[in-house]
This record gives sequence, structure tokens and C-alpha cells, in this order.
Amino acid sequence: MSRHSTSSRLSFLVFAVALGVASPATTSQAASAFGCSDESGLCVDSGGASWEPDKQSTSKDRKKRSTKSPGRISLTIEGGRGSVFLNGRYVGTAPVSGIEAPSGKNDLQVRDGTDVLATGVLDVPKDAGVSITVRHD
Amino acid sequence: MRREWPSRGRAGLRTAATTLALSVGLAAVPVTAQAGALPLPSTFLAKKKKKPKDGLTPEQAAEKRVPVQQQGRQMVAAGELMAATILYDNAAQREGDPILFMDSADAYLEIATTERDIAAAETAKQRAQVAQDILYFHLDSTADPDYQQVASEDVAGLLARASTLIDKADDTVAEIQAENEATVAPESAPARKKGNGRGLRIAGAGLMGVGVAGLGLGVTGLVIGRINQQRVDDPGVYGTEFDGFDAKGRRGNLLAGVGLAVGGVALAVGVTLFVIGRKRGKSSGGAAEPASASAREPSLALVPTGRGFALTGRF
Repeated sequence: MSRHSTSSRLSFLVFAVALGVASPATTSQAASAFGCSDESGLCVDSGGASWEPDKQSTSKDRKKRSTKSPGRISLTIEGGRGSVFLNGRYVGTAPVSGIEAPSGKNDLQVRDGTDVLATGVLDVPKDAGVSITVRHD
Repeated sequence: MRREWPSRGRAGLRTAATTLALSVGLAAVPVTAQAGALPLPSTFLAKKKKKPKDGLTPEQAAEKRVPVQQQGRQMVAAGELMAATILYDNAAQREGDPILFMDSADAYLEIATTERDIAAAETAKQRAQVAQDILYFHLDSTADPDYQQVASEDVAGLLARASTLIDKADDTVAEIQAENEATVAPESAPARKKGNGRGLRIAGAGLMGVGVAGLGLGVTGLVIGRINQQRVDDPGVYGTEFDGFDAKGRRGNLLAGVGLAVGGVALAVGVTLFVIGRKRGKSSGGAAEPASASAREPSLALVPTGRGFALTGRF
């Protein structure tokens, strides 16, 4: 009886291991599909904006910003919480949506207390709807 | 022709008039600039430092905050805690004011304490965390220096307040959870006692005894019926003797029918109850079980007595 159950347990284990070995590609694909893997901790999902981590806008960039045809930012945080600061001011706590941002280079920072989750310059195209995901490590 | 040069006295008057005109003109610059009636040379405005359009100083932030806080305190004093949280939340979100976020956290914490509400305590923590985010950002180089909700020298004290609020919220959640667990525990205690299955085992054994007795009665009835049937079938038996055997045979048959039916049902129900009782006894743990190994084994025996058989058992 005990021998039978041991052998069945062993075969189940072999089956499980075989399944695990057979499907690593599928698992990593699923993780990359749902997660933000960028080193900076911020991924631009849509809207054509470009992200420069650890940069700060220059006075020239600030002058070039235009509120005539602003973009709109939506931001979510994976695996935690955080507050969003745009151009030096608090705009909301994630998840946020429809945050108006002037077209051009904007300073963006997302933080959870002392932890800075992402900081840098986000270049927002005119009239763009920008969707962003930030990873909370 | 002699050209007449203006006299020294007239020249002095002209100089004085020019000086007066210039000084009046200069004095009027700010007034005309504010009124915007006259276009001014750009050199006058260029040197003047431009005030940011939508900047905010700590003093201006306080001016906006104080009326909200006064109204909020009145609401809290009147017991309208939920209304106070809505007031604080709206103003805090609109202004991005860390102090109003903490005032909101205070109100949520008051709700959590009075109503023993875990969700309110968790919301209080969230508000204090937002205040913490804003205050830490205030110290960051990317913060807008022209937009300050609080003075830099006040940040440390405000961070301490936020930290205390977060600790209090965590403590309140833990307290309420402990209270909830304490109130649930006494209710579950009697349920454990019910579940040892002893009563079921006793009832099952009793019914099994009744079942065996009933079956015995049925078998006896069958035997009586069979014997009397043979006697009735004998061609030498007739008259009153025949009627007597016939009546006995009928009683035997009735006894057999009732005994077998009742005994069968009682035995089936008894066995079922006994098995359920055994299972419940096992699942309730060893507390209800006797200590010795021999006592743990249930025993059932049919013992012969002077007047037939007796069913005995130990469960």
C-alpha cells in the first residue's frame, strides 16, 4: 500500500516537473505581457510619449511646454501604492486618469513615502492620451 | 539785431519745470502700469521680477486652508464625522495640501475608534501616507519652488505627525481585529462539545438492540407460523383443535411481519447512527475518547440469559 502511494506520488512529481520544464516560455511571455520590465520602473503603454529616466527638464524645455493642445495621462502602479507629481506638483494618488499635461517635456515623479518609484522627463505629444504603468519593487 | 538770451532767472524756472515734469512722470509709472492705460517702455518692466501666475506661498496656502479646517472642526464637534472627511478630502485633493490630508486622516481615525470600523482605520492610513508622499516630495529637487503648501522648516514636524497617524491606524486595525476574534471564539466553543458523537453512538446502539430484538421476534413469529401451518395441514386435525392452531398460526404470522419490519428498520437506522457517531467522535479529537486502548475499542455482544438473549455493548 505504502509502496503504491509512494510510486504514485513520484509519478505525479515527475509529471509536474515535466510540465514546468515544458512551459517556461509560456510563463515568461505571460509575465512580460502583464508586467513592466523597464529598468527605470516606468513603462509607457500607449500614447507615443517618450520617457527619459533620471532627467530633469531645462528652462528651455519649460518654455516650450504648451497648454494649447495638452495631453492626458493615465497612470497605474503594479504591486503597491504611490503618489504622482507632475511638473513639481502633486496631481493625485495612483491609479490616476485624465491628468492634463502640457505638450512637451514634463517632469514626472512617482513616489511611495521615501521610495522614489520613477523619476524623469516625459515628452508628451500634442493631444495624446498617454497610458503609463509603474512597477513597485 | 540783438538776440535776447533768456535771463538766468527764466532759465532756472524752465529747469525747475522740466525736473518737476519728469519726477511727476516717474511717480506715475506704477499707477499707469497697473491701470494699463498707457503703453510703457519695455525697459521699465523688464527689470521688475515677474511673479509666477499660479504660484503659492505657505502663507497663501494657510489662508486657503484655515476656513476649511474651521468648518471641519465644527462638523467633528457636531458628530458629523463622515461629512468632515468629505470636506477635508475634497479640499486636500484640490489643493494637494498635506495638512488637510492629515486632518482627513484624523477624522477617519475618529470614525474607526468610535464605530470599531477597520475600513475607516485603513482609509486614515492611506490619507496619512499621501500626506507623507507630498511632504517628502517637498524636500525633492524636482519640487516646484514657487508652489509651496508648507514652509520647509515645518516639514519635519508634519512628517512626524503623519508617521504617528499611520502607527495609530495600524494599532486601531489590530485592536479591532483582536476584538472580532474574541467575540467569535466563544460561539465556536460549544460547537466543539456537540461534535464528539457520543449521543449518536448511544442512540445507534439502542436502536440496533431494538432492531435485533425485533428481528428475533420476527423469526419467532415465523417459526410459530410454520409449526401451526404444519398442524393445520394435518388431515387428522379438525374442529376446535383446527381453529386453535389456525389462530396461533395467524398470530405467529402477524408477529413475524411486525417483528421483521420494525427490527429491520431499527437495525438499519441504528447502524447508521452508530457509524456517524463514530466518525464524529474521531473528528472531534481525543478529548472524548477513553484513555486505555481496550476501552477505545467498541464492543458489542449477544449474551444468553435465563429468558433468551441480551444485547450488551461498550462504546
